[in-house]
Amino acid sequence: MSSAENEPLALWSRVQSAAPALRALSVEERARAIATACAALSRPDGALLALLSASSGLSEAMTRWALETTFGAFSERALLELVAGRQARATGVAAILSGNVLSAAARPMLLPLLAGVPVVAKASSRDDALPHAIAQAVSAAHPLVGAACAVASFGHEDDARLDALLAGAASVQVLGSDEAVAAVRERLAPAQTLIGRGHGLGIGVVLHDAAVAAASEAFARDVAAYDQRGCLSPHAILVEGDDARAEAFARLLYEALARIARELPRGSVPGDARAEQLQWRGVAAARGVLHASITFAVSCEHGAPLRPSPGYRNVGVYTLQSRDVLSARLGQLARFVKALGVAGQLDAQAFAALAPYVARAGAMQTPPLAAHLDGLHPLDGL
Amino acid sequence: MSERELLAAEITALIERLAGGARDDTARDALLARVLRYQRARVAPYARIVTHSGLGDGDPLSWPGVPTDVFRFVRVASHDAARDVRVFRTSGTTQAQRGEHALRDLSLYDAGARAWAKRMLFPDVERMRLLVLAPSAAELPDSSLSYMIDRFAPWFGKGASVAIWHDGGLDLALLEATLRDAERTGEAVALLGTSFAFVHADDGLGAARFALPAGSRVMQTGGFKGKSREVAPDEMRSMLSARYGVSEEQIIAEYGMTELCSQLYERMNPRRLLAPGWVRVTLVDPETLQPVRPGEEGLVRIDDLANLDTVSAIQTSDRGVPVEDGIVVLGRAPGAVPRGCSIAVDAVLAGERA
Repeated sequence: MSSAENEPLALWSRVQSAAPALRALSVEERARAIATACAALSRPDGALLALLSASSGLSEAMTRWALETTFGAFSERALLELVAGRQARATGVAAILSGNVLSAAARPMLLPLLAGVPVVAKASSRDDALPHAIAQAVSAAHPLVGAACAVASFGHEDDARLDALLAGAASVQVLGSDEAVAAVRERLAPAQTLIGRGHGLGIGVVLHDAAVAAASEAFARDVAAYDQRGCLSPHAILVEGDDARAEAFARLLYEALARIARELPRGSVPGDARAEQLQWRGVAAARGVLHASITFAVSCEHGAPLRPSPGYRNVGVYTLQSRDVLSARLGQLARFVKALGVAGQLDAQAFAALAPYVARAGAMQTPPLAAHLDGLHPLDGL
Repeated sequence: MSERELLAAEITALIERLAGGARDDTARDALLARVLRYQRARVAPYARIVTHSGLGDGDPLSWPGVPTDVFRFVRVASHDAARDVRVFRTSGTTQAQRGEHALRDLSLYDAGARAWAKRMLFPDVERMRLLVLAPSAAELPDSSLSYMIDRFAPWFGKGASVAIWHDGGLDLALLEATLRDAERTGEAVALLGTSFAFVHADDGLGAARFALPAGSRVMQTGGFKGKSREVAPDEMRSMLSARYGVSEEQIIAEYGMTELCSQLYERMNPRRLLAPGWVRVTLVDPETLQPVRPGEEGLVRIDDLANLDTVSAIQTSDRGVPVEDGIVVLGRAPGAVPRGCSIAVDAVLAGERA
C-alpha cells in the first residue's frame, strides 16, 4: 500500500469523487452489488481464510462460520427491506472499527454504501485484513460502488490521521470501548453526527418452561461464537428455578461446549486474557462449582452476584428465582447489557427494557440485518 | 500445643534461621506442604479450589495457588471474622470489589517483614532516620504497606519517622527542610514511599537537588494506579538518584502484595527481585499452571509460609521471567490486546485494582 492510499485526506478525495456515481445508481443496483460482494465473502478461499484466521486469532473453522453467518445475512432482499422508505442525508461516513470481533466491520462499511453514502473506514493497523477484503469484494462486484469505499489503517495514537479522517465525515460510527467513543466525540464539530457503540456484553436466561438440554445446546453456540469476544456474547446465563436446575444446566452446557469445540475449536488467547481466565476460574472454584477444560469453562455460582467473565469461552451460570427479579439480578452489569438471549417462551416485549437486542438462545450472535443493535436502526446516522 | 501453634513456631524458627539470606529449600518445601494441608482443612474456599484442581499432596507446586481475585469475592481465612486483628485491603473504589487479607495474628508478618527488610534494606546499619512518603497506618489502617512502614520505625528508625505524607498529600516543604538538615548534619536518611508519591515529589520539588550523606537510601514500591504519570523502572531509578544524590545501588524497589505477609526486594546487576528463604517464587504457565522454563515468561506464583492463617499459595496476575536467584517482574498488561466493545467490563466495574 502506498502512503497516499493510507492517508485519510487522499481517501476522502477519492471516495467523494465517486459519490455522484454511487448516488446515481438505483438502490436496487447498490443492493445487488453489496449482496454479490457478501456472497463472495461468505465463501472465502483458503488464502483469505488463513489470513483472516491469523489476523483475528480465531480458528479457521470459527472464521469460516463467522463469515458465513455474517455475510450470509446480507441478501439483496434483506438489504432492500432495510433501506425501504429511508433517505440518506449524510455526505460521508467515517467508520472507526474495532478489532475484537472479526465481522464487526460489515455493517458500518456496507450499509452507508447501500444508502448511497461514501465511506472511509479506519481499521486497526494490527487487524485490517477483513476491512480490506470487504473493500476489494465490493469493488469486484461493482467498481462504481467500490470506488466510494476506502480503508485506512493506523494506530490509535495517530491523532493527525484520526483528525483528518473525522474532518471529512458528516457522520461518524465508532465501534469500541466507551473511552474510544468518548475520545472521538471530543474531536467532532457540533454538526457532525456520532453513532457510538461502546462497551457491552450479553446475558442469557433459561426460563422455567425451557428444556435445559436444548437450552444448553443453544447457548453453547452463543458462547462459542467469536470465542465469546463480542459485545453480544453471553458472559452469564441465569437459570430460572432452583440451584439444582442451574447446576444441571451448567453441566450440560459444559458438555455441549465440548462437542462444539471439536467442530469449531477455540482460537488463540492473548496472555493477559489467559491471566484473567485463571483469576476468573479461581473465583468460580472458590465460591461455586467449576467445570473446566483448557479451552472452555462453565461455572455455577448459584445466587452469587453476577460478574463478567474474561470471554474466550468462559461463562458463568447463576440461579434466578423468578424472571420478575431479572432486572435486579443483573445488578451492576445491567447498564452494559446489549443482548439478551432467552431460552423458553420468548416474549420480546417483556424483556425489551433489559436489553436493546433480545434474541432466542442460539441466535444471539447471528442477528438479522434489521436488528436494532444498541437500540438503533442499522441506518441511523446516515 | 495446637497444630497452628506448632506450625507457627516452626515457621518462626525457619524465618530466624534464614533471616541472613541462607536458603534451605528442602525444609521450606516440607513445611509448606504441611501448611497447605492444614489450610485445606480449614479454609473452605481453598478446599474447594484444591478439590476442583484434583491436585494436592506432595510437593508444594502440586497444590493449586489461590488466584488473588478470590480475595475480592470470598473470605479466605482459617479463622472467623471475630478473631481478626487486622484486615488489609487492596486499593479500590468500592468495598465490595476490594480484596481482603484477614489476619488473626501479626507476629509472622512482623517476623518476616523485619528479617527481610533488615537483610535487603538495612544490612549495614542498626538505625537511621526514616522519611515516609506514604500514608501512615493511622491514616490508612487497612493498607499493608502503611502497616509495614509504620513498623519500620521501632525496628530500624532513629527517633520518630518523619511523615512527609499526611492529610492525603505530600508536605514538600517538610521534605526539603528535612533533606537539607541531613545534608548539613551528615546523617544518612532512608526515604520510604510509593512510586507515585516519589513522582509527585519530583514534580513538586522543581529545581531543588540534594546531596544526601553517604549511606542514605530509597525504598520505593508499588505501581502508579493512575495517581501520577507513569515512570519506567530504570527512569525512576535515574530520577531518584539525580534528585537525592543517592547511588542507584542504594535505590531499592520493594514488591509486596496485600495478599502476602512477606516481601521481595530488588537487587541490581542484573536487576531482579529476591525472595526470602521462607518464600517460594515460581513462574507458571497460566493454563497448565506448570513452571515455565528458564528465560520464559510466566505468571508469578508466590508461596509464603508467613501466610499461615489464610492461604500460603498465591497466584498473581503479574507477568515475570525467572532468573538464576530471583525473578524479573514485567508487570501486568491489561488492555495490551484490543478488546473493543467487549473490553473487560470487569475492569470498568472494578475500577482501580491493587
